[in-house]
Amino acid sequence: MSANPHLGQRATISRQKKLSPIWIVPIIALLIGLWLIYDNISKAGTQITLTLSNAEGIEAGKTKIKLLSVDVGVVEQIKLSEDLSHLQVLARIQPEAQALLVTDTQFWVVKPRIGLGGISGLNTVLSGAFIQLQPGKSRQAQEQFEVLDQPPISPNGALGLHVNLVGKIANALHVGDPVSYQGLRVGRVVSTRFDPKQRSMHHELFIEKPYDVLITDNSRFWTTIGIDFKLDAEGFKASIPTVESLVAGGVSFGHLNDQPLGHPVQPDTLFELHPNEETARQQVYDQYLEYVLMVDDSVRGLSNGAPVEFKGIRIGTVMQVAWHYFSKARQAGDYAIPVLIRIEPGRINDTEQRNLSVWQARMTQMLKRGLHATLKSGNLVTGTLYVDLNLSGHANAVKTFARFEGRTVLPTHASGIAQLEQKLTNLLDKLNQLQIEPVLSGLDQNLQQSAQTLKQSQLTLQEIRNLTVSVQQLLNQPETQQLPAHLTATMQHIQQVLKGIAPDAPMYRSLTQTLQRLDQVLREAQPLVRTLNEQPNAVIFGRKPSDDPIPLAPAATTNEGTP
Amino acid sequence: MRFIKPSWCLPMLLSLSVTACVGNQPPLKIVRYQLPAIAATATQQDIQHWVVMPPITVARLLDSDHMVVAIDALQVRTTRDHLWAAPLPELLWQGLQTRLNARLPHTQISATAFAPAVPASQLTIQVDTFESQANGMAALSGEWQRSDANGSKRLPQRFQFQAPLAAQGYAAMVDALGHTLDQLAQAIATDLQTHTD
Repeated sequence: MSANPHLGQRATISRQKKLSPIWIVPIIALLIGLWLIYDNISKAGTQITLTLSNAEGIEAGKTKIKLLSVDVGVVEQIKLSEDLSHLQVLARIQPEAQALLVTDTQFWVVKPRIGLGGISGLNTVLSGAFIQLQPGKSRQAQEQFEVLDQPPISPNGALGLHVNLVGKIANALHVGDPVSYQGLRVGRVVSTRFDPKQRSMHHELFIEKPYDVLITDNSRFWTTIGIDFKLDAEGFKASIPTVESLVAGGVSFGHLNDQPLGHPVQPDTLFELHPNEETARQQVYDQYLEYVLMVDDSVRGLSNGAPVEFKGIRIGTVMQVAWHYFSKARQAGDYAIPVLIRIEPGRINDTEQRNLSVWQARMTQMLKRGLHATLKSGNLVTGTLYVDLNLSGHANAVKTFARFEGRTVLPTHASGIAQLEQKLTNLLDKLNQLQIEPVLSGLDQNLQQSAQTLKQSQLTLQEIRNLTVSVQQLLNQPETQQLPAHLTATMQHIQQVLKGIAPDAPMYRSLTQTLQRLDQVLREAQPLVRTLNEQPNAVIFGRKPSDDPIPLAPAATTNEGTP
Repeated sequence: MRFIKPSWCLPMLLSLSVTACVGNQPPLKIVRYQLPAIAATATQQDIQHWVVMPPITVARLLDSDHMVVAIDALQVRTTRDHLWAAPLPELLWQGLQTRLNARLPHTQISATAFAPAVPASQLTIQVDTFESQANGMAALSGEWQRSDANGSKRLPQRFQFQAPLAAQGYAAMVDALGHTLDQLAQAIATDLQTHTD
């Protein structure tokens, strides 16, 4: 009974596994490869396109993009734009900095710059130029940027205030010029733009944060450039700014005297730019009354801007000489020159500025009481004139006032020289009216009196003659005649006295003899002194006889002396 | 008994010793000399010139009454026992004046100006040596200068005269010195005559 053993041994068919474990290796390799690709892509960062006009100093693969001196990217490629007008730089920004790429992000090339504000970017001389990134505030991402030519004056995020200036001083300001307040730099000129239609310059200023409160509706701006010379009725005036301002120029601003700062202004408020400080402050008096002077005399020396004074206080300004000269309101044969003046109450007191109606009434009252204008010489050297308002008592009060071109005409009196002329005429008139006859009769009386005086002087002469006779009698008296003899005797006495002390006088001789004796005594004492000197004990022991040498006779024959 | 007190002894002894010394001193013999006189000449008359001769200035060694004897070229001795009769400047002035007056009859030599108005020339004399020398000669040297009546001075002139001593001794020396003075007077007189006439 044996069964086919082979029958029982049937091959069991088992399903082979679909995937061999060996496949794990390529799969892992694939995964690693994929991860590597992802990693590479994710770390490569974003590519951005920068547009700039000049790629000086920028090299592909080398020039860095920096934020606060930290590298955040690198330039990869530089190529020309399609229209060849500018350059396009492809740069790659690291993923960490990707969030910085928003619409208002700014780029500029940092390279050595020498300007009025100083020298910057010196370190790039060695390291090479780099592109600075200034992050923006926007949340909208962007990948196309324009590179600025200059570093931005007011970086994004800097706190401050932008204001606009408009003026006709074209070349006064440049980008980067300082904005100063009382000499302190508080901001910079951000941009300048010339408007051809309005023919005026538009400037944008940026005032830095702590100082932006200084910009109020009372602020006045003026340029601080150049040296200002002025010669007017008030004399010679020169205003010279500091050397720094001379070189760097700039714009200054200030406020009205004794005035509160005023109200803060909105950003981008428009201000007027004045050529100098004085003009800026002049414009303050925006409340004024206008009058017209009709001047018959010459207005030579009277210029626009000349002061109008009342008793020496400046209360206004001459606005225009020869204002509407050819007006139809003029009457025929009237060649007086109209001068427009402004009375500016604000000059006297700032609080007066608001009460214009009060001033109007006041002026009318003064006009009725004889207020009139005179052209006076303010400076004898230059001959400049100013308008002097005064109230003269004898001026005729005027009830009604003429009007010219809508302005009240202020009565005008002649100037100093014209007044002099008038006075001279008056004087001549008075001379004419002088009465000569009484003077002549008085003169006649004087002549009669002088005749009497002559008689008196004749009498005086007679008296002098008598006096002479008596003097002669005095001289003829014997006592007077003896006077010379006395004088002679006195002189003789004096002569005798003088003889007594003359060289041949006895007294003189005796004096000489005395002196000679004294000399003799001294000489005789000389041997004694000498002896004592040589032999001190000679007083007691007596002098020893000296051994005087014996003078010798010549040994040979005698010789004759020669002179 | 004591007649002599001891306190008297000392002064007595001292005075005795002093007198003893005096007794040994030989007597002094001082001889004085004056310059030899000259023979009298005619008195002054018709005086035409006046010459003022101030006192003669002498060298310091001579400004005394002692004599000067030169022993050799370098050494001189002044005498103490043989002396001039008067101080030497006076003797010289007087000797010169008499000698000049004798030689110039129309010129008056005086110590001071006769009168301020009279113009007088001036004669200044300075004597440097007036001595006997080792070679037996008497020597007189010095310098004299004249100035005119108007005050203008002439150049000073040096003079140097010698005369031999006739014998040894002071008398011969004084004699020889007198001869030198004669020579000086002659020289000055010649000059005065030459330039004033």
